[in-house]
Amino acid sequence: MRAVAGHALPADALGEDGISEQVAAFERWSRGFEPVAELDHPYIWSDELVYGPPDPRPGWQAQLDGLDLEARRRHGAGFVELPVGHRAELLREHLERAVPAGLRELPFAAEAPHVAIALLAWWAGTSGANDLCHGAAIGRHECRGLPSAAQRPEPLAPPSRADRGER
Amino acid sequence: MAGRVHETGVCILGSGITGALVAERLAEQTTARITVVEAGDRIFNLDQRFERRDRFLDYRENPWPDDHIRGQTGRGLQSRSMCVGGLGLHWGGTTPRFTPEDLRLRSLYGVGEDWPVEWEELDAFYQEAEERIGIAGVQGPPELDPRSRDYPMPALPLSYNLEKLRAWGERSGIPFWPNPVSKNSRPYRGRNVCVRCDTCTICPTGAKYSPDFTLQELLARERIELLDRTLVRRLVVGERGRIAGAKALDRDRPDEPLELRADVFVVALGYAWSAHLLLLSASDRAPAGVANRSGLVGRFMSGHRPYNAFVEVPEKLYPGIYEMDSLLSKSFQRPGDIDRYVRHDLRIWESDFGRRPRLRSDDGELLLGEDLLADWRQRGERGAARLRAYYDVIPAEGSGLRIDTSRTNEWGDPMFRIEMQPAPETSELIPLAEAQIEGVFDRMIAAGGGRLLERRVSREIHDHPAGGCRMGADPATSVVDPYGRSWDHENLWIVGAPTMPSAGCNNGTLTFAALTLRSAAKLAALLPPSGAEPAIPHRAEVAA
Repeated sequence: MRAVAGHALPADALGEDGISEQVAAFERWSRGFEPVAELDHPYIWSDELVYGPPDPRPGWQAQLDGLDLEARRRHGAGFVELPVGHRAELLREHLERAVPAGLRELPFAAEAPHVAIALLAWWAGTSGANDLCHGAAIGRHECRGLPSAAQRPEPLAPPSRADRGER
Repeated sequence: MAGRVHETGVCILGSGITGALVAERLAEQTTARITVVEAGDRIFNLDQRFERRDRFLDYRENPWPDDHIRGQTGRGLQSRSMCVGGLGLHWGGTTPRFTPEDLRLRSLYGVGEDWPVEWEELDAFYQEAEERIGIAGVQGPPELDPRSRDYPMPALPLSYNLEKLRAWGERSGIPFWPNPVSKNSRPYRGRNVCVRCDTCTICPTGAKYSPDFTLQELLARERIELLDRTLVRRLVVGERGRIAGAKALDRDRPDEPLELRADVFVVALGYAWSAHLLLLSASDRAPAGVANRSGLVGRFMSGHRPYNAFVEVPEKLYPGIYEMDSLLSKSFQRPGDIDRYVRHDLRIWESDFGRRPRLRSDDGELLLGEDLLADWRQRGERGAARLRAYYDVIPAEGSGLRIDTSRTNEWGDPMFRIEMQPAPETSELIPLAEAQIEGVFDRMIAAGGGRLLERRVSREIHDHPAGGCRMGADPATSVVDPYGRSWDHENLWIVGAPTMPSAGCNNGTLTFAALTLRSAAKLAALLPPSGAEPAIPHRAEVAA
């Protein structure tokens, strides 16, 4: 998963440690997933209830296993051991096959057609990703108090080399 | 099997905002014994709401998982919420008033019906509703936003994004001001100040008003009894047309019949379930249904249609500062002299429309990693706004709810089907209304800069539905009198949204809350006043 994340997530912006943190958080999210949960019925116009998808994790594991198996058959080494360029190429091939051409927006992570897209969709929905995009501490999902609402969000401090996992 | 009987003075059916406000008003002003009956579950879970909020954000789960009853639904229903607090647990807390024009559509514009209420009288009940609920707001220009007193709380501070969008919008010459909301800008009636969690569908701090707070307070003071998980299935008409009782079902003891007896019944079940219960209660003494000698129960339902536009604005905005908050203008609700009837509200929100991270570029290339982030950042350099106008839909008489025998709940009660139909005057004016709204959007873009991203008009949606038991001054053309009392049954009151002759062109909750308090004030005058010996009022007193 960590090797996939290095290509699916913005590795330069997040840094090595950031990628590992996001993978760990995604795995925590995955463990907390409840299959076929009752979803929020919107505030208006919902005379029927809607339920979420079944557990996607067995499928995701199969996709990771498939990546690794194909890496071994093509290159004689597991996915993790491949050179970065080969990994990126192989992952992209898998995604081009798995992701329908008509899927243009990021899906709900649990309904993603591939585990790499699930990770990406999950990350893109976080407060941290929104902050990173806009370079500001917006804290979209935080309970932040009223007074600061009127202020322009503080700019994010650029990540230090240590934050990026560099020596 | 022998059944149980529950006797009370005032039996309020429904525990949403309407039922809670009636209960509170009567509890303060009278000594009547009050029972609130709710089919759904009791969800008093403030201590669990952060956890529920987290799962709502993380997994899109229903933050109120016990807020409905399996099989209890109808086609065209607005929401499945059926629990203590009703849809008032989910609501966004938007609470503008209507404008005086809403009460005089026939006199001023020759469409719809005039309401049997004067604006000056309603103003006082608007104020009372704002104080009981706790509304934070600031008056707009008085000629557009008439009111006699200040809001009970100052408005929430406008967010950085909304300040920018207000300046942008007002370049068109249209004034905007903060949308009034039922969220505390300071601690209020024992509830917290809003801390901008921005998940108002589940407010984890209790800063947003919901009826469960009112009901818990009344329970703590032992001023009401609350029968939850109790589904009222029929009202029973007795001698002289009085409502003798209600047949109910205790969902925990479904095999044991339960009868509710009261001197006064108050139906506070919202626009759909009120009409549904009355129609289901047809009997030899009320062949067309309870309160339905006019044949208008379930008729004249309406709402307002939303017309949305998403606009790119020439400002850097920061999506997510406070997405639930918005700006309001009533410029087009008070149009003055007009040749053809078109009225609508106007709101502005921050938006991330077209600024969300996306999986494919414009040319269809899969975006991963840094490519996705770069694309996202580039599209986020300019902000976006959502503009929305509600225009009102004058209902046809046939617009509304009918019993649907093809669908039943798990106890065999038929459910319903709702079909909204605009009156001919609305049908004729739809193109004009939509053209005017498009013109307003274009005017704002031309003056403020930016570009239109997308327009969305829905002719299927009728937001904030109302009607079905409309009030009026003539028993032949209305279900209840101007105060919500049934023309047919002297001890039956129907309150809130169902009584509205039209649904206006902005969010209706505060208006039906005000009407509810007006009904409650009238009813309270018939009950033993506060300070009298607690007693169930004698039936003759109510009849008088």
